[in-house]
Amino acid sequence: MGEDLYRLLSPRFELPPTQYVGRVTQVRIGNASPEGTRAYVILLGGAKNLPFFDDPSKTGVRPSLAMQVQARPDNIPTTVSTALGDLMNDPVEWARFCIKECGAEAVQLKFNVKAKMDGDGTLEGIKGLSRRLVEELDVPLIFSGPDSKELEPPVLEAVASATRGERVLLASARLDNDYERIAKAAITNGHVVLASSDCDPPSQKMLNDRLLDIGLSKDQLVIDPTTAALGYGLEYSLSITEQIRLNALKGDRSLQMPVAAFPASSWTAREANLEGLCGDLYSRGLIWELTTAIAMFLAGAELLVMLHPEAVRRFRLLMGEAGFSEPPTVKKE
Amino acid sequence: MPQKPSLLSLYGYLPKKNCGECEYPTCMAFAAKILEGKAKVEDCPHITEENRVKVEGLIAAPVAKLTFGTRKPLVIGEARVMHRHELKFYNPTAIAVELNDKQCEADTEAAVERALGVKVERLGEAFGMDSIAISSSTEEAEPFAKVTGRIAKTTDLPLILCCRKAETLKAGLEACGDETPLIFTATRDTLDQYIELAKSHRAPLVVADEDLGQLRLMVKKASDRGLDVALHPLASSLREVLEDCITVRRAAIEYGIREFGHPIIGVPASLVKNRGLNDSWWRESLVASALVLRYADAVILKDARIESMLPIITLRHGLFSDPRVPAKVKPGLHRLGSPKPESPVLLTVNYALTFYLVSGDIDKAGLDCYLLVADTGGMSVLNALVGGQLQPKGVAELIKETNLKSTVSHRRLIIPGLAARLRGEIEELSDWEVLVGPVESREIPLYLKNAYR
Repeated sequence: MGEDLYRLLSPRFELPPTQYVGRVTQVRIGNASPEGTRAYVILLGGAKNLPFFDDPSKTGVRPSLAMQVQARPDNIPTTVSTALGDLMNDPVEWARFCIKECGAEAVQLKFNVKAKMDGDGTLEGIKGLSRRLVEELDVPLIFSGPDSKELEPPVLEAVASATRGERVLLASARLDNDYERIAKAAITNGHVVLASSDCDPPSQKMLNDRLLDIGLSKDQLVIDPTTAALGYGLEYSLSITEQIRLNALKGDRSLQMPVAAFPASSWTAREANLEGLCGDLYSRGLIWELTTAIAMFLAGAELLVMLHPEAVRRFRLLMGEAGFSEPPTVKKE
Repeated sequence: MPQKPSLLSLYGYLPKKNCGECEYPTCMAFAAKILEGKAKVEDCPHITEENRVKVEGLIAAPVAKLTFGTRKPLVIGEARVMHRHELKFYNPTAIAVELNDKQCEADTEAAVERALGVKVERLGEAFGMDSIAISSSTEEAEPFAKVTGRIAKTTDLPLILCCRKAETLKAGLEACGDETPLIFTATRDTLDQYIELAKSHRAPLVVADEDLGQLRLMVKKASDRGLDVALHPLASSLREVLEDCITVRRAAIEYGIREFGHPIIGVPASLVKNRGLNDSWWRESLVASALVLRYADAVILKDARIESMLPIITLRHGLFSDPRVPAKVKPGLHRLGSPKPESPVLLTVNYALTFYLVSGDIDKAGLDCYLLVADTGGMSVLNALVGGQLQPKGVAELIKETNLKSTVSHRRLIIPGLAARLRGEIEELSDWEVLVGPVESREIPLYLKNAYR
């Protein structure tokens, strides 16, 4: 009898969320008029705790989703190229498809130029393509250079001036590239910089400090600790993302920026792209990218850059069913 | 927040004889080693039983250990930290597949064989199903008992009995005989009956409720009766269950609330809407992965196809690895594709990331070759060169140990570009022709096509 009374009277069990001294800076990608021409902007960051560790009323927003588009597609796995078909021939059409048909909030354009830059791989060509994307799409944009320390800075510098005023995300400044050049281009043209480190918190901190010293403000930085593919070190990415986030919340101002993750990189795993490994290749590829996405979300990533249209579609579907609301965007009035 | 056990408080329970019989010079040193997890309190021949129990209590994990299964005991629980980087995660999340008594009545043995057939290899270790859950579809005792009995005969794997009524559970428990299953799950209404049955069969019990306050009371009741308990927070969405798992685990680790210091059992399918759709295996897989990431000590899956199990097991393997120790693969000769005697041989190191990057690049290009994996204690090529773990002598010995000359018809070894300076000495010591390959593994396919011939 006493116990039944206790049951009736006991309040819902709750723990107070940990009160941290720090919080993640809110970073805006995209500029609406008059500075830019985006129809809406995306807001990353603002967290005061790890996902789901906070007061239940504050949790429940899914990460912002961007999709990767490549100029001169390189190394696209069969599963993905089959889904995209002719779209791969035109980055702008590919990007438009990502927004209209897949529901991505933003698009990342990756320039795969080689050392010998020719045709549209010249800096003029890159500027031209960047401008075309800005003119034909009114969504927040991310630009990344080729996988080359030498080429990244001039490419990003060219993009920065061609997209002046649109507050794009320039990917990436690294300790071992000419990050100063990239930072200055971002400052001059009003963009945001992706600071990428190699799964190493001290390097991330050092890079962020140097970028802030050069003159970028805290709300012009996004952290990329590197998303290793599932089975190829993803647990490092997860642990490091958590570590960086916890240090930020405990007061480390150099790390108080939102995190971007790249489930698109999961396609490098043999499990995602090798025919004949086990089971069905198509399903394996999709679940590989999806698992990477949900894992980085749980670790704290606010922006996910994905590749396969069906993976994006299913991720959004599951997030909706799972009780998460859309991430904040600010629309033009 | 409960403090970590202090060295002095632990020392307080030791005999303080400094006799050295525990193989440490002083009791203080012994106490320090116990705290590090490197010594066991049982090693002390002079400690009183009372004090031994006190020490065990002091160093016990905030989340209890739970064992089920008699022939192949499965241990879950014993979590100590909220985040892997703070220490490590213990006892990888157990994965069970659910077999429904009505659905597999006709061909029970075949259903079990199918479940046992799921195999995933990671870094030279094989993984598969950890347990079989048997569920009752209609709460009829007879088919449940029959199928349970058959399953218990077909496999040694630990079992989980899933039913809602005491009569059904009783029949299932009896059919298990000496094999101790995990009971899934008592609810508010069935708690008293389930506790009695669990006690009489000495089986661990899962308790379930959607209210964490109720759950706490249920756990207290069951564990006061001497039972091993696990928790199953009932929720209607992935978001809710994640919040519940985090609250439960924080309560145990950060607040020391004993009733929440028990393993958590998750059932991904119950959180997935649109379950009816044929193509929903991926939803269950993702929810399972989310539960593995956020404190589930066991998950029960309805669909155990390889496309679902592969990512869950791969994720679990990485998550439960010790972040303080570099991941290693087994050294020796590895085959990629279907190599023939003429196929090239490439040298690499046993650091898991290096191995997977190199083999991944070769696999992607569809090439057949041999990878000669040197034991560098898990160091990457660069670190092993600087630290001395990669030596020409070791490479020459490895060629001998693996009997490489009987496997390939040529005598050419390709070494990583970064190890170029070792070329001459390896040639001298091994009598093999040593070629210097590219620095970046992604250039290996191009190298093999153009430069190697």
